[in-house]
Amino acid sequence: MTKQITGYHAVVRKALVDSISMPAFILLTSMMGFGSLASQSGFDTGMASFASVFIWGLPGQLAMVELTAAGHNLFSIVLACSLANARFMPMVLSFLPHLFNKPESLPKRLLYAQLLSVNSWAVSLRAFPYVDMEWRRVYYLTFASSIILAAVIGTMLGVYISNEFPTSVVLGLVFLSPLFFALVLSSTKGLSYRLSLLSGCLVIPAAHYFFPQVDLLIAGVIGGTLGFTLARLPLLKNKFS
Amino acid sequence: MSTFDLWIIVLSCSAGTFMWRFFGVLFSQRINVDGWVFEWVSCVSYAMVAGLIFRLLILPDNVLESVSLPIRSTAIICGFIAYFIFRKMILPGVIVGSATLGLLVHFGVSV
Repeated sequence: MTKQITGYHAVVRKALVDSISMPAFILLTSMMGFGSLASQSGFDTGMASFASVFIWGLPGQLAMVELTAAGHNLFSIVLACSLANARFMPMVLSFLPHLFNKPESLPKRLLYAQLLSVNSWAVSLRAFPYVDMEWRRVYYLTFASSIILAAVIGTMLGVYISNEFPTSVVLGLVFLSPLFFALVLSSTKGLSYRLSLLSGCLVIPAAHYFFPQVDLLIAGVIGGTLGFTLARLPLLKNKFS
Repeated sequence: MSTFDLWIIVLSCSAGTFMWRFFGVLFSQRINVDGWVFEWVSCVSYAMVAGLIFRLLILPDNVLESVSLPIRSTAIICGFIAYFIFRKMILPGVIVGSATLGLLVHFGVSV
C-alpha cells in the first residue's frame, strides 16, 4: 500500500500529479464542449467562463445552455439547471466531514462546498486515505483550483474553436469523462457504498424513462437506500465485510 | 436575447446550484459522522453519481447517442480490462477505452 503523505510540498505535488494525470485534461475537453455549445446559444466568453466557475457542475451548465437555446423562460431554465445539480447537497454533506474534524468558519465551509465537483469529490475521496487529516484541505484546494483553471481555459477555447475536430476524436473525448469516473468509482471501499453504486445503476434506466427531469434524485434516494439496507442484511454483511 | 438577459440567466443558475451546496454545508454541521444518517446520505451521493455516470455511458443524450450501445459497451469493457491489467491505474484504462471507441467509429465499424 502507498504510504501516508504529509507535509506541504508532498501534498501539493500529489494533488497536482493527480490533477494532471487525467482530471485536468477531462475538464479541459468537456468544458470545451460546453464553451462551444454556449457560444452557439449566444453566451459570450465572460458569461460561459463565469458559469463554469460559479455553477461548476456540467450537467446543470448544459441544461442552462440547451434550454436557453430552445427559448424557455427564466424560471424553467433555472429550475432545470438547479435540479440537474441537486446532487451537490448530499455530496457536500458527505464530503465536508472528510476534510476537517475541527469546526471551520462558515465562509470557509461555503468555499469548500463551492469548489466541489464530481471530479474533486471522487478523486479526493480516493486519495484521502493516504493523506493525513491536517493536510487534506491543502490537497483539496490545490486539486480543485487546478481543475477549475483547466475548466476555464477549456471553456474559453470552446467558445473560440467550435467543432474543428474529426467526429471520431470528439466522440473519444466525450467518452473520456464518464469512463474515468466509472474506473475511479469501481475501487470504492465499503460494502454499503459499493452496493449503492450498483443500485444507482440499476435504478437509473427506469427513473430516466419515467421521470427524466428528476431521474438522478430518484436514482440517488432509491439506490442509496437500497445499498444502505442491503449492506445490513446478515447474509451480505457476514460474507463481504 | 440581450446581454443583460443572458447574464441574468447565468447568475440565477449559479444561485440555483449554490443553494444545494449551501444546504449541504448547513446540514453537515449537525450530522454525526459515525451515525447511520451520515452513512445513508453518503450512500445517496454514491448512488446519484453512479446513476449520472451510468446514464452518460449507457443512455447518453449527447453526441454519444450516435454510437451504438454494443460499440460503447466494447469500449467500456476494453477500458476496464486495461485498468485491471495495469494494476488499477486509471490512465491506461481511460486511454484504451476512449481509443477503442474512437477507432471503432473511425473505421466505421457498425453493430
